[in-house]
Amino acid sequence: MAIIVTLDIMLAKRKMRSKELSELVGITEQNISLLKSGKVKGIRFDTLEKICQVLDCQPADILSYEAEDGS
Amino acid sequence: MSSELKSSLSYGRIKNLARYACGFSMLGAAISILTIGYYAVLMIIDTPAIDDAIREEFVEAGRTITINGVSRTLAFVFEITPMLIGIYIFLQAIQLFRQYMRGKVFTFEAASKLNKIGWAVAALAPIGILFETLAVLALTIYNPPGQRQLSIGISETEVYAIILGLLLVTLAKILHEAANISEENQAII
Repeated sequence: MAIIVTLDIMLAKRKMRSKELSELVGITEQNISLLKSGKVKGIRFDTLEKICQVLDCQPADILSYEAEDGS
Repeated sequence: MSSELKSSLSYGRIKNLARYACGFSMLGAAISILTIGYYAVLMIIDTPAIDDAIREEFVEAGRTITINGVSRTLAFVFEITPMLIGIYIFLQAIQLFRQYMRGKVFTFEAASKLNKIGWAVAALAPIGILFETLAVLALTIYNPPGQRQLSIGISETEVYAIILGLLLVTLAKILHEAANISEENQAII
C-alpha cells in the first residue's frame, strides 16, 4: 500500500501505549492495532483529528506516502 | 459489528417487526405442514373424505371427474406441491427474520435469503397454474373420450405474486450492494 501508517513511531515518541490511545480517542484497541498494521481501508477525519489531538501531532506525522514500484 | 444496526431506535423497530413476522411465518409453516399431514393421513385412512374434498375443489359446471387410486394420488401430489413451496418460503422467512432480530440486517446471508424467497414467490404462480392444470388432467384422464380436460387459468393473484417475487429479488440485489458497502465501512475506522 502506498500510504504508510507510522502511528507506532509516534506512539513510541510520546511514550504512549495503544490501550491508552484507544481510551483517549474512543475507538477500540483492536482498531488501533489494525490501523498500526495498515490493515484498514480508510480512516475517518474525526478519528484522525482525535488521534492528532491526543498525540499532539500533524496527520503527516502518522501517515506518509511512499511511491510503489512502477507507479 | 458495524454490519449490525447501530441506531438503537431503528434497531428496536426492526427487531419488534421481525419478531412478529417470524411468529406469523412460524404459524404459516405450521398450518401448511399440518394441512399436508392431515390430507396425507386422510389419503391412507379415509379416502371417501379425500374424494369429497377433491369433488368440492374440482367439480364445476360442465366438468366430470373420475376418481380412482391413480388420479387421487396424482391430484394429491399436484395439489400439495405449491404448498411445499409455500413451506420453503416460510422457512426461509423464519431464518431471515431471526437474523433481523439479532440485528444482522446488511449481510450477504440476509440478501441471499431474500433472493431465495423472491424467486420462490415468483415461481409459485406458474407452478400453481401448471400443477392445477395437471391435477385437472389427472382427474379427467380416465373420463370417456371427449370429457377429458386440460384447463389453464390465470388470475390477478398470480400476476401479483410474480411482480412481488421479482420485486423481492430486486430488493435482494440492493441489499447485497448494501452489504458490500457495510463491509467496506467496517474497514474504515
